[in-house]
Amino acid sequence: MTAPTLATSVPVTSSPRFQPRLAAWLAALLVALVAPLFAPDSFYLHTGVTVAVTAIAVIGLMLIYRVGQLSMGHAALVGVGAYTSAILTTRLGLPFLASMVLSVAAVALCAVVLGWLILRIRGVYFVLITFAVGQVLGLMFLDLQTLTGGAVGLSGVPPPSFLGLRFQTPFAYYYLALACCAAVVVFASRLLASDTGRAFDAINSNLRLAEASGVPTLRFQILAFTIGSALAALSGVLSAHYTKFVTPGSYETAFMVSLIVMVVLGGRGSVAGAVIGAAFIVPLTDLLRDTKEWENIIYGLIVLLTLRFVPDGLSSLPRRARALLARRRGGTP
Amino acid sequence: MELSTLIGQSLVNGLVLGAMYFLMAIGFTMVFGIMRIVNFAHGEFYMLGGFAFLFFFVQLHLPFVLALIASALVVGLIGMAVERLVFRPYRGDELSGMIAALGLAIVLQSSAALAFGAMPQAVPDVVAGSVSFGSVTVSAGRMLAIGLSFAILVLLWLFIRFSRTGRAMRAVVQDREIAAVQGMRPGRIYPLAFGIGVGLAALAGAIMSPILTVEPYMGVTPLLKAFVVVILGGLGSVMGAVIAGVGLGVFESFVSNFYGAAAADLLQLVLVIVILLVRPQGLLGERDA
Repeated sequence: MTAPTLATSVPVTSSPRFQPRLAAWLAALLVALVAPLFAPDSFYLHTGVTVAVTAIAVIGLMLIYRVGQLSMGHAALVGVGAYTSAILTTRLGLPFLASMVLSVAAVALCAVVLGWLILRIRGVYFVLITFAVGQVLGLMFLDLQTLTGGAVGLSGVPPPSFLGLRFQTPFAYYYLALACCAAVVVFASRLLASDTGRAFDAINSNLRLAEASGVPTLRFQILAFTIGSALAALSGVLSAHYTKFVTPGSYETAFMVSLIVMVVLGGRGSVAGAVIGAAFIVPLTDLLRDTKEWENIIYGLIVLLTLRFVPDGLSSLPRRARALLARRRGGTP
Repeated sequence: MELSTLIGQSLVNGLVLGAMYFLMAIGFTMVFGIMRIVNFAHGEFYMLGGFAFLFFFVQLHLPFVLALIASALVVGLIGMAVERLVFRPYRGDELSGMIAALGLAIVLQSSAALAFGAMPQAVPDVVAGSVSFGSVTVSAGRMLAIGLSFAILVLLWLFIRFSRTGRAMRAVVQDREIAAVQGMRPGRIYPLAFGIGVGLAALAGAIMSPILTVEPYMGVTPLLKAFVVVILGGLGSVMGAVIAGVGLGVFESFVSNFYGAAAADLLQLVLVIVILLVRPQGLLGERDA
């Protein structure tokens, strides 16, 4: 397991005034904000929406990984968020905002209970139990036909509208998704930089030592699992109201695998990594849509090569480069 | 149909399933016990076994037993190469090993789909005719599958119990450090264990191929079943895998005959979750350190 290193949070070679990470974030945000104005092509907009929405789920998965646990039920929880909001808006006619809040809260509540039950289990067994939970949820999407529409799914999910705004077009939806994604990025970064984040890291690098040092490990793990799962649900809600339909096939094993690919590629344990992972993999999926097999082979190779040669993911490259430069100059990296 | 006939048929079908499940699960559990790798690509070796058998038996017209052995050997050797290339860097890092296995699984699956096409291919019956027990009639092919699986089980048991290598493998499962101190070489044991483990999956794929069909995605369900069986029997326990495999096969056959397949699938997953929570070492497994 890769322990998140201190070097990620402490700038090494810069003056205190200039913060390269913050600058990189702001630059990325600026590009994301103005790009559609120059190329308002619906294909790119669609990819942009998907990147932003998926990145939210990946950040959630990454937060759970940050306490040393790999959840294979994450994709199914995205599905639960999507289904819940689809049902609340189409069947009960709830407005978007209320439906979103309720769906995310419902999943978070379930995650507290589920987390309390299963987070005592660690490592391989946790992976397997979350895998089983994901499979059960997948079967429920299919079998609870009166509620979920079975294999056909639910259609006619209304586009979001609140405060007099209607997010009907891809162009409008892009900015909604971007705003949500940016808010999640800020939230997750602040969380990880806080005492809570330090408790996560302590648990990740040595659970027993953390416990012995007075960190209530189960409580922090439940917190990470709950926040991570709530973000999965948020991502699900946003995707359901974007595509306007929900099908069980969208939240299957393949989606779970692609989420893990994104976490690994970007860098297990970093917010930037999660966003980078989504920004790389989602467009790839769109490009290779007609050749499912090649898409999977490339996914698989990306995972294998990243694990082997860049185990901390793409987001660790600047730090690696800095360390390399420092060594060249003869300083301590 | 009479109830006794229905029960008899369910039992035999359950035994066929159970035989396939335990062959899958033994390999899965051996690889975990010895190397601490949760091999998510295990189903893909089952699939490769099916295609290898198709090649040796149908295209080269090798005799049945020879085709079986050839399939297991080829897939076993591929497994040893994969252990060297993919898994060796992650010794002692279970999570990374698991993610690597996931990556390997989708590469193998999609490569097979590109190379062999997605169309299911039929393998002709190895033996024709049927066997009758009172009112229950069973195809001879199914009886052969059950018989073969148990024969393979006995051979494997003899190997693990009495051969030098088998004893070394058991020693690693019990305590890797002490085993290493006693002269066990991981560089030799690990590839061998992985090769044997996936070779067993290949045998399961080959044996089942005349009963089912051969296609690139055929390994998905057996992997899921192996995973259920291994949890029930205890991760790392071979005996547990056999008992739980037969048990799950028979259970599934009865429940799906009387209540439908969806109920069988859901029930076993819920059972898995409960067992992981209450008794993570499995019903028969020993306490995991």
